[in-house]
Amino acid sequence: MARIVRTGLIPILPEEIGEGTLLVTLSSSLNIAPGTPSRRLNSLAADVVRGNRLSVATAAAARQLLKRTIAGEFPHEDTGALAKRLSGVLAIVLRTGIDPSKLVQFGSERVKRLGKTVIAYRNALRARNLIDAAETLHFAALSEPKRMRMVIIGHYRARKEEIEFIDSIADDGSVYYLPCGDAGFFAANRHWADHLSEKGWQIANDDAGQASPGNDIALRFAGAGGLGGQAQAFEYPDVEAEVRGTLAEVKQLIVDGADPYSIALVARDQSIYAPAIAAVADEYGLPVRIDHAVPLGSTATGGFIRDVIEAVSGDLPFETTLRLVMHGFGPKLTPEKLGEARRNRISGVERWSELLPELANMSWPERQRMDSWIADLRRLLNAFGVRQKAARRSAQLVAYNTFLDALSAIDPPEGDRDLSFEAFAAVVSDILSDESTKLRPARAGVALLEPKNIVGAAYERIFVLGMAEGVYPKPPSEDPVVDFYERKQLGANGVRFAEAAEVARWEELSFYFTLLAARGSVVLSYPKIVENGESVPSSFFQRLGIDKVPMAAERTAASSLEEQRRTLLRYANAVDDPAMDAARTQFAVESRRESSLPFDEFDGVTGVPIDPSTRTWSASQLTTIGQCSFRWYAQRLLRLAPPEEMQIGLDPSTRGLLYHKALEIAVTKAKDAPDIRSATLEHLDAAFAEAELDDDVNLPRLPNWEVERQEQLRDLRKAVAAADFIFEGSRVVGIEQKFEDVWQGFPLVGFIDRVDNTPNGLIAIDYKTSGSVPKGAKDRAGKLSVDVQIPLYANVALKSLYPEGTLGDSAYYSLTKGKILRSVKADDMEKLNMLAEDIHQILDEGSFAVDPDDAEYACTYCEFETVCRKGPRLRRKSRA
Amino acid sequence: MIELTPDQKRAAEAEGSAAVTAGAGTGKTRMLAERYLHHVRSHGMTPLSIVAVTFTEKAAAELRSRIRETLSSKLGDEKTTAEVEAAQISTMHSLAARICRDFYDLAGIPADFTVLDEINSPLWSAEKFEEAVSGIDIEIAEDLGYKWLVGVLKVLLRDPIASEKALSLGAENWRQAIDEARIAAITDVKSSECWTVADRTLRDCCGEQGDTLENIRADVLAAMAADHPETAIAELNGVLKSFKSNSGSVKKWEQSSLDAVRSCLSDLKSAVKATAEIAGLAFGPDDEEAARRIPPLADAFRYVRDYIAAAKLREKVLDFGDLEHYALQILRQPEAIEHYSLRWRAFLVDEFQDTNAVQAEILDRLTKGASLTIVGDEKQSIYGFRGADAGVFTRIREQILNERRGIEVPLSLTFRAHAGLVATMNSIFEPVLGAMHQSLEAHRSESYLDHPFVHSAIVEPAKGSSSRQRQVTEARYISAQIRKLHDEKGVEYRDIAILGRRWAPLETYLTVMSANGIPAVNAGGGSLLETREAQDLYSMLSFLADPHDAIALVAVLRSPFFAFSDKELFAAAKHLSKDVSWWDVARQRPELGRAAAVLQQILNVADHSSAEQILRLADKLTGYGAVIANMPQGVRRVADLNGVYDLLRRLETLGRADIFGTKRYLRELYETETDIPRPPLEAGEAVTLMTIHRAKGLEWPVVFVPDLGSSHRGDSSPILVDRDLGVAFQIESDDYEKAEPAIHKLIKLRNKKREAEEARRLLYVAITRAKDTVFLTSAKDKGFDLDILRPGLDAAEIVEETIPFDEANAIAPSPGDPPPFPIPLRSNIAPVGIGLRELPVTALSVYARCPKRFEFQFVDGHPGLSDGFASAMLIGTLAHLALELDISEIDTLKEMSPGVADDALASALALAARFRSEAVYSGVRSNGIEKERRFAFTFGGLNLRGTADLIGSDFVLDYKTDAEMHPDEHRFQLWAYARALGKSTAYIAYLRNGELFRFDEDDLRSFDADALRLADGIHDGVYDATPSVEVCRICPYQKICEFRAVVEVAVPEDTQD
Ligand code: SF4
Repeated sequence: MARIVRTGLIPILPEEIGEGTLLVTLSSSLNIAPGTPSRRLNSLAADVVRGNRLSVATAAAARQLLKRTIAGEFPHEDTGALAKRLSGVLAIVLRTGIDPSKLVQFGSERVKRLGKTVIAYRNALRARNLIDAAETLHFAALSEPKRMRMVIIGHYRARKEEIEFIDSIADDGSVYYLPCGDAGFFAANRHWADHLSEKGWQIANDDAGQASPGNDIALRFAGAGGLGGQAQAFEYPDVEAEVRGTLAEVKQLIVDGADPYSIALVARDQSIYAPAIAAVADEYGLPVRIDHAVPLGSTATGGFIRDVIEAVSGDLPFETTLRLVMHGFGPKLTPEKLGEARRNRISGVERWSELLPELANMSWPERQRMDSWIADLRRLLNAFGVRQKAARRSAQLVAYNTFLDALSAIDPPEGDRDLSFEAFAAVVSDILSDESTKLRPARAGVALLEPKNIVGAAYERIFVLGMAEGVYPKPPSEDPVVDFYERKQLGANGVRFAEAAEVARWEELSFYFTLLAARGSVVLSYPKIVENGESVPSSFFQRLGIDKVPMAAERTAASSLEEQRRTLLRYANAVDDPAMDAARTQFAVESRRESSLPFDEFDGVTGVPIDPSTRTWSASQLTTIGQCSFRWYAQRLLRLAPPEEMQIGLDPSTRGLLYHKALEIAVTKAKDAPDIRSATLEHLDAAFAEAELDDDVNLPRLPNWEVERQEQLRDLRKAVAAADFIFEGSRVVGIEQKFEDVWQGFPLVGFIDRVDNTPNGLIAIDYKTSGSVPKGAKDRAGKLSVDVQIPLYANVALKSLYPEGTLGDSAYYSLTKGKILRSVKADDMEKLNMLAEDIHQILDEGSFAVDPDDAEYACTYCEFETVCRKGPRLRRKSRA
Repeated sequence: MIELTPDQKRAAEAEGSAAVTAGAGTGKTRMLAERYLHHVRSHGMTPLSIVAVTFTEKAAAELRSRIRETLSSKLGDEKTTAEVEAAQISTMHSLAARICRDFYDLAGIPADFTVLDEINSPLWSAEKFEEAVSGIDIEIAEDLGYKWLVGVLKVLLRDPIASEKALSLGAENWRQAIDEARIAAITDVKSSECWTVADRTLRDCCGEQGDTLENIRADVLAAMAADHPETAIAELNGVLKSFKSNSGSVKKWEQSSLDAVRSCLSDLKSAVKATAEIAGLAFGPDDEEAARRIPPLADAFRYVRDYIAAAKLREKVLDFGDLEHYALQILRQPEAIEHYSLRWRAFLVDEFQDTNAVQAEILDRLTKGASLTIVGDEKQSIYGFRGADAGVFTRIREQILNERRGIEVPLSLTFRAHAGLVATMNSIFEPVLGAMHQSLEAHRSESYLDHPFVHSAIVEPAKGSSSRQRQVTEARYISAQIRKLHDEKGVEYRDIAILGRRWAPLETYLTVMSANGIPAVNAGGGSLLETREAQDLYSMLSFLADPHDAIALVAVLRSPFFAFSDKELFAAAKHLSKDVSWWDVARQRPELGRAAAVLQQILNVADHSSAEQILRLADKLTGYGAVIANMPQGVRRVADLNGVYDLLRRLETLGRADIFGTKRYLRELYETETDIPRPPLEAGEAVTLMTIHRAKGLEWPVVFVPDLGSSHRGDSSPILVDRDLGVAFQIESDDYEKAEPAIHKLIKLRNKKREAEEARRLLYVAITRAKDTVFLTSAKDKGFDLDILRPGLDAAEIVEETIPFDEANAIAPSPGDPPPFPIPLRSNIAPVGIGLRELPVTALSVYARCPKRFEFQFVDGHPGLSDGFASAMLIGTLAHLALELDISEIDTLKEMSPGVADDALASALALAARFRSEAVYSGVRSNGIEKERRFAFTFGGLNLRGTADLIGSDFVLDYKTDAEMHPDEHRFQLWAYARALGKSTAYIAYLRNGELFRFDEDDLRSFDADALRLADGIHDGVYDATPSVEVCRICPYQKICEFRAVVEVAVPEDTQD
């Protein structure tokens, strides 16, 4: 009996495989001939290899060996990086059986290097009785395997090594399906079919026979007619909408009784689609099988391990270590300890381990043997209990195990030499980028496949997503070692790499087979926006005769609770949804906030009057409430304050406290000296040092404090030296002078930074760390023009403190500018009294509207923007 | 297909190089595709030897698609057409990335770098800047001032290459540059037309003595004649200041003279004013001080830059700027040039006017000896702020004409606007663009809309009206026009765009349109992190990262996550104290109980979920997303929400998925004010609002260009980088004065001029997006853009309409709800359970033991927590192997299992030996006819597969190497073996115990019904736990299973240690 190549465009698969005939399929999940055991070509080849007393190297072992080879061949290169650069093309060389010595003979410099690497690497493998997984088929084909009768399905893309292996193992009576058509993208298949025919195979070009609707579309794509069956095509605004639209449809089908395993989702670019599909599928409660793998480094586990390494290499710096500690896998700090860590900006192993004993495990030596490094890292991870924590999600535990396995597989070329921590860190970072792990290990559900993995399969319905130009077909990328130009040159010397056209055609071929896998319907879609940019529909649409891709219709089903809520929120329908009522209220509240209706109880209006006489008031409080009553409400009534956070530099308010304290100390010592200014300067250094330690100042540890301190002190000295600091002939009569008085019904309390007796009378001096006049409270036109502090100090405080004294011009003194910023003015009190009236009204009504000044200057340093929800909406609110 | 126009044809078929100036809508993509075809057909090139460079990814995709189409229809060579897919048709960045990959060694970069795109790059840098700054030399930091330095470095690092260039210029040529600028300005004004006209007019006409204008005239003439030019200009400026447009008395002048003198003085006044600014500049002590600071600043800059660059190399990441920088370094080496000259013979570069200096040099080096076609339009150069240099276009064009002997082709037949509109545009832009102007002709003569094709409308300058109010008035006008277009002229909303220079005012137009029921969409301007949605999610994350963050908690409570009223919150706040935090209160007070319960539920899973998962859960529990989607601009809000999820996914790929880390990261982004653009949005059936920059390359029938009256802020940055003059800044001197060195002023003036030029081009781009009609509107009768356009509008005789101001209508209205979503016809909200189909036979035993365990293992793919079994399993596998291949020598087994310890090999061989020698097994041993038979078996809707260890004519046998014997659990597996292979007896050989267990036909038959039940459960996805101490004790999932029976014996943990 002859061996047959069936080249029909649509493989007519056998109903049943006869006894004694082996079924060989591309993958186990092809949905073809269930109940018949099937084998993979690769595993048959692996058997052959094993029969030769060799084994196939594991991926990790192969990588290790390759690195070691490279380190030997190119001692000055970054082995990990070079291994990654070479590995793709090296696999091609091994897979297709290209003779590496020819590369050395005919190639450019870089190709010669490749050739040498392949030779050395292969020798290293053989010395260990190993072969690389990529060379399995080629190797097996050369070893004259025992022939078997077989039917080979799914290997529809002719590859040299597969053809050779099939030719060497298939016995008489075997059938190999290799669709060949006239379209250009079948060129390689035609070539290999001819090759087999030369080897004595019989070509059977079966008629397509009864094509299923999906097959019909494939035929159309191949330019081979087609009976009028057509794919549905949809355009969606973006990837999210596309995924929702598609999964909704899938869910609907399943709810209506379709077999989930008869449906496949196909996406060429899994890095875009897999995470998006996973997220929406979770929301929909629709199990999806996703094969996509991501590098370990981009998993939570990988991120955590990277943090560990980073923290150790920086000797537990504050920020990285905090992140590490508070990570889901970290040992965690209690709120108190968290506060403490932040306040003191803890760093270094010693101080950290006082806070968290586990961190003592992070004190590592400078150099040690690789196995000791590995042991140290494992010990640390164990101390953190990472394994148990990771076990909460299967994906994370899989990732963690992958990491540990890779760590165990390390087999350092240096043997037992001591290695630096950096060298170890580089090894870990290589693992994080080399190893990958499944995004989702779950195995039940609708399949999400790459086109290359659907070849030869059969599904009732296929949904191809991401049909945008540049996404599918995806332009082949040039290999940096053997680019297409060089492939042509090498081809002339009999070294055959796939050339540009062939690689490009694979995209078309894969699409053809994707269509072919559909027994029933095919739905193609593309998003108009992908990766933040606009896209163009794939040329494949046109090839199918679809000139204009219509917008997908409005959805008619709610596929998740969230979607149902979204659609029904504004209807009064009763639904089974515990959060719906609340959501409706939330919507009403937020709508009103966004409208031009006046502020209400959801916008700061508590309606509870506040009696000002029951509180004490400072000038700054009056300013705050006069700038934006909501801000005062948040600060004083809701008592909100930001958690302590570290700053890159000194924050303005601490700086203010520090300056004030230093001056208080220095001026107190200097006030009786004949020359107050120079005496103050004399005392300033010591005073500054004292202020730094002061509890009220509560100076945090700053990363660059030594530098900044000098600068701050210099600024302060400059301020004292400036002429305006103290007027000629003045005496200091009060420092941090407290006053209490009731003004307009507000019990006032305050501290005047300094009271000077000047030749023109008594003045209050208030130090400012900013360089400009402090913004006052709002006037009735919405501008911050009402100064509160100096007028109050001058007209209320000084009067009550010194009822007899004459009053001069009280003023702000800028410590950063070294000059008087503003002195009292005649109309100050009139404005201030109007403000008092306004504040009374606010308090009486308990109406703390989000009402900053028009320019929203009040918001610049306000911490409550996330609370008050200001924004363009304020333009729609008329001022109360 | 329409024929190529003669110009297109000339450009496409040029023999050598070509410089093509392509006006708006003149079909350059088509021309490029034809040029590509020409290279292939007539010059014998293959696609692999032609490089095409575009400005955006989308343009690259479009061009590739167009080229493919052109080649496949006109060339008829499938192979060549297929090569187009692999051809270098890409953005400049991809080209640079390829060069870096090819020659990483020449640039000293890692071979396996990854590229940080425009969004990931700032994400990455935010983390590094802080680290870098803390290492600056203390003396430098003290000398220059730490705060100042940090601020300046942030600016300089935005474009490190340009900054390096500028800093390395030092300050040497400042003095000369200032002098030259001064002289040039004076020379310019003296040779200007207005000067000549003034000189002549003022001499020719005069009024009566004593008249103010007459005095001015005399003074001006005198000052114009003075010979110390610098002081004279200042003087002249002083004199002219006293001139007002109504100076002079009509009685003392002849009317015509009066008009002439007034007009020429007014022109002269503004010209002299501008000149005087420059003429007054002199290199002074402040410049000396600034110059002194340059070297330490350069040191600090280089330190930080190098620190960051080193970190990039260490972490193997490069951003777009780095790619270009390194690509250029590579191309400076002959080896690389030679490599590419073998490969690439023709270059097509689109949007050449947006090329920056580095890119230009890259192209220059690559294209030596090749054919070069550049396509661009200086009038559309609007990326100056990104370093694009329109001068490059002129330079290369000259080079093409002179050195490469190429040709220049203007494309001026536009396929976009109709003849009437084109004529008006020509009239407008002739005076506005001056020398740069290129008249277009229209391909289409008829218009779908009536005359006039360009409208101009300005809000009445009512007294006392605020700019905000006038903006609302402008918005109402726009909205009314759109309504009219739609209702009366049948224009679809999607055919209308509103294009603004700035994003902010567009928000007001949106509100007003939305209030009037006009669907309109912000297509994506502004910063994502500033949106309300981003801030709400950030608050939620902040709370979850630290439940004692009171601001975050209260923000969440007030937000649409919960929407508590201030009444409730105020009441709750009474229970706060020093030891009772907001979170405590929330948990204690029943009024807040609803929120506390939800938040607690989220907190419970926060540690092992990604930030995205957590926020989606918060949405699920609260309905946040539903609220957002139903709000005005709901589509936009949802897109922003998704944009945040997308951002979180990006952070995830950087290894940041946990709550705390993500929150810190976001905080850094907020603090460094990193601009993450809002995701673009498809307008669909709505009016599109976008910035002019984003509108490039797009077109609409009707285009509104509003906000022409806004003033232009200009670059007020205290630090300026200039490619010719270096880096300049203001200095704060010891006596507290902020001093502005002359060089800073000079650069500022130059920038202002450059920006004004760019503003002209921006208006050109905006207006030429229209196919039929343009509306120009302004809230003020004067303004930066309006002033630029005025001469053009006058020249085109466009009637200026006045928009009446009405105070009552000048507050922005409520936006009004968008139309509700249609009621879904079906509700598919219940999750669907999907069972398994493909299984190993052994899975049956697991399911029989506990379906929950089955779910963990086979459905979730969970590896479990007990690798104490790992070594046992290894021995089992090896024993099977030894039996299959008849191995009894340790060395043979070792050869096949490299890396396995000797004792494991020995144990495996020992087990194999027991089977071979012990008497219990002698019967099956001698009757066995086949080993390792793989089989597949379909039953109960499941596809089972397995391998039978040993088969006899009527039996099947399975080896087990387990320590304990559990035939009861293994029975389903054996049952399946027997049924699949059609045998009547099944054996288990327990090798460790030396036992042989037998199931006969009756036994097997009694399992049938149970097996079918198992299959149904597996098929339908029923995974109810069946816990018992027995089962849970040896379950690898006991630690994480909520149903486990109490077990004391712990499964060993991480025994690999
Ligand atoms: S951000 Fe502005 S509006 Fe909001 S509370 Fe603060 S000051 Fe008021």
